Amino acid sequence: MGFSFGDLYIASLLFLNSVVILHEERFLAKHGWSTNAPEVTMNPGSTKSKILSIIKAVRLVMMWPLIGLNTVTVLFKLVFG
Amino acid sequence: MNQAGMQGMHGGMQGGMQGGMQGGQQGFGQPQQGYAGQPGMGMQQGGVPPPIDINNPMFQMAASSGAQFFDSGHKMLQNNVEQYVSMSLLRYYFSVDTAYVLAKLRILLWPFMHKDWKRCKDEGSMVGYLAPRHDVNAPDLYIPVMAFVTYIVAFGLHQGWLNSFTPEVLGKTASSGIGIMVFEVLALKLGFYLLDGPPNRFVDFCCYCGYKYVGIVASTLCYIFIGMHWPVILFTGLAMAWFMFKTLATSLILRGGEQQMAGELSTPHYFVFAMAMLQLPVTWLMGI
Repeated sequence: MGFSFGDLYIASLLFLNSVVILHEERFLAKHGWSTNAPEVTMNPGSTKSKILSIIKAVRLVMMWPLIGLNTVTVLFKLVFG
Repeated sequence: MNQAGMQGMHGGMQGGMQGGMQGGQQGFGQPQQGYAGQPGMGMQQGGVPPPIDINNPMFQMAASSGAQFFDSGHKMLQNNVEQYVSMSLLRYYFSVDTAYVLAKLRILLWPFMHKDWKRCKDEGSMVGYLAPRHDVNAPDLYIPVMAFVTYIVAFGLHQGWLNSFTPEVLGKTASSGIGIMVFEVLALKLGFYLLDGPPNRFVDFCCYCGYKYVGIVASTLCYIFIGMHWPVILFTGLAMAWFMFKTLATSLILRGGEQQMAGELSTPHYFVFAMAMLQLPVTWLMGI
């Protein structure tokens, strides 16, 4: 049972990466999850529109910090294993 | 100026401590001798002359400057912490009394007979609900914090029983406990946001997730003293699942008033059920 702060950090980093790489035009729109679709603009309070806005917000806020954190973590893993 | 003042207070405390040590077998009055004026009291019975003379002007000066610096340090702490954590909000969560704690522990370990889970509204208070000491359904932070610390200590005790205790065990247990709680609280917050729930505070979710430590402590102690903890884990896991289900359902599903108890299963129901059932494996995971 012990998972340490290091494991927590790597897990949340990977999870945030997985949210940030969902590009809206190239990927989400092809599967019907675009923000310009009528069912999203019609009811702005629905679960789908909320999920889309969360993804958009996370991309907007965390993209550059995540680039930095990923670089640092990769270097750390390279050097210290 | 602060540096010199701190030195002075430190010197005063040192003198007080050393005087106290020389005094002999008195119990806990010692560290307070820098501030309070009671050093002479317990000592006369031992027949030892009081090491600190209250009437000494030096002692009085040290005492007053000590009190002054304690005050200013307290103010500084308050100003800095207030930006991040609202102290008056926390005060709401810690306003408990013995009757509340006993009733809440009974509900946590046997929630199946508790009938009314709604929190009572109170317009005057900061949170909008009655304080924990007046309302058994209100979340509080006292029980989770105490249970968490007891869990860490009990886990350390168990490791010591097995002769495999190292001081790192305490830190590891604390960080993994906090880690699991962070995930759970985030999942709860995300779920409530997506399902259009009423805006429960972040602290409320921490309270609800922290209540499971009561059951975990019970199962850990059973494991230490009886050696068999599967029944206790199962039972406390089920009790916590029922508790979470009822609490979250009251908050999420019944928000529109009583007419929504029509019984049709919808996404909020599934979410609450899933979060409640999650308590079981988490309880097992945190146990031994």
